[in-house]
Amino acid sequence: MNTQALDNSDVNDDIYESTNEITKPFFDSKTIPGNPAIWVGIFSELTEFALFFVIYFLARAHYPAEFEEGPLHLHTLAGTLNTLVLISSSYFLVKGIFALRNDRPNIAVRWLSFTLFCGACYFVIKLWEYQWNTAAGIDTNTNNFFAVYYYTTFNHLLHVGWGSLGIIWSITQIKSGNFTADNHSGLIAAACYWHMIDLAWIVIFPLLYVIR
Amino acid sequence: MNNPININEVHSINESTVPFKSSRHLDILWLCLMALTIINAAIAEQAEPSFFITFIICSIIILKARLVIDYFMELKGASPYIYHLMNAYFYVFPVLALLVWLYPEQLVELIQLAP
Repeated sequence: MNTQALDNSDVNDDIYESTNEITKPFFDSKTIPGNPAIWVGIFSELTEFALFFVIYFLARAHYPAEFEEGPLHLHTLAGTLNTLVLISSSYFLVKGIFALRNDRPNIAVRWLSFTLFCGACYFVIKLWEYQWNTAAGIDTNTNNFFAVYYYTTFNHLLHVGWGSLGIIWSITQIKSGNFTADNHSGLIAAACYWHMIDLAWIVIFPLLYVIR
Repeated sequence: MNNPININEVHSINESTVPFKSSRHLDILWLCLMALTIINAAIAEQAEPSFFITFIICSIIILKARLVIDYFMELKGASPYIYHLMNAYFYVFPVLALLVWLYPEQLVELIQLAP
């Protein structure tokens, strides 16, 4: 294992020590954050979510009563908690990137671990919500609203899984010294993918849980 | 080894690409996003459906998306193609949500395969 990046270690640094530091301007107007390939992936995923949103709109137009009634039967607290968890995960991720840019790989790993923990919390809350639905007699065949709800949220859940794998990979790359303050485009790529998942949920949550 | 950067030096490079003047701004942004989420949840629990409420919900989607795209993803100073495409996506769907809420019958008529 290449431990070069950890030699000038910040092992004794407080994780909050970096909070008041200035961050580097990282992208200019010609820069593609991460790499072009990740943006092909991100826009592909957003197209997939767009199809789900279009299906939602069409189903809503055809079955307005089901879509007006549906959100009242969902676990709003679970949806809200998951939104807070995802926003916090993105925040921790940005803190991790800032730490790495300031040459503090160990602190970056800690922030990214918080992001990963939030991803795990999202899974637990979602499973709790699905179990709560099942206990209330709600499943994919209950009506069109719940069919759209299950397909959309489960698809999003899978993406949180892919994003978490990207964060795990980034952590291993920082630990092995492959991602440094000056070379971490892979981390930016993983971060952009994670933020895309957060953004998708920013649309999904109001559509399914709030708008009636 | 810590390498703090002088803010004047940063600004002299390119002010428009600096996402935050300090991490405190990031903390405030995080709190704003959390507050907007709680407002959404309060609306879900208490407000009766209306055009005004739906408009507020769609506006919050756009605002939250802009904050994430501009600051968390740091796209504001990056490639304009990616930046504008991302922004457009998160304007189009909230506006569509509002239009579908307002005109569901017209949408149904529009997509009928047979007269």
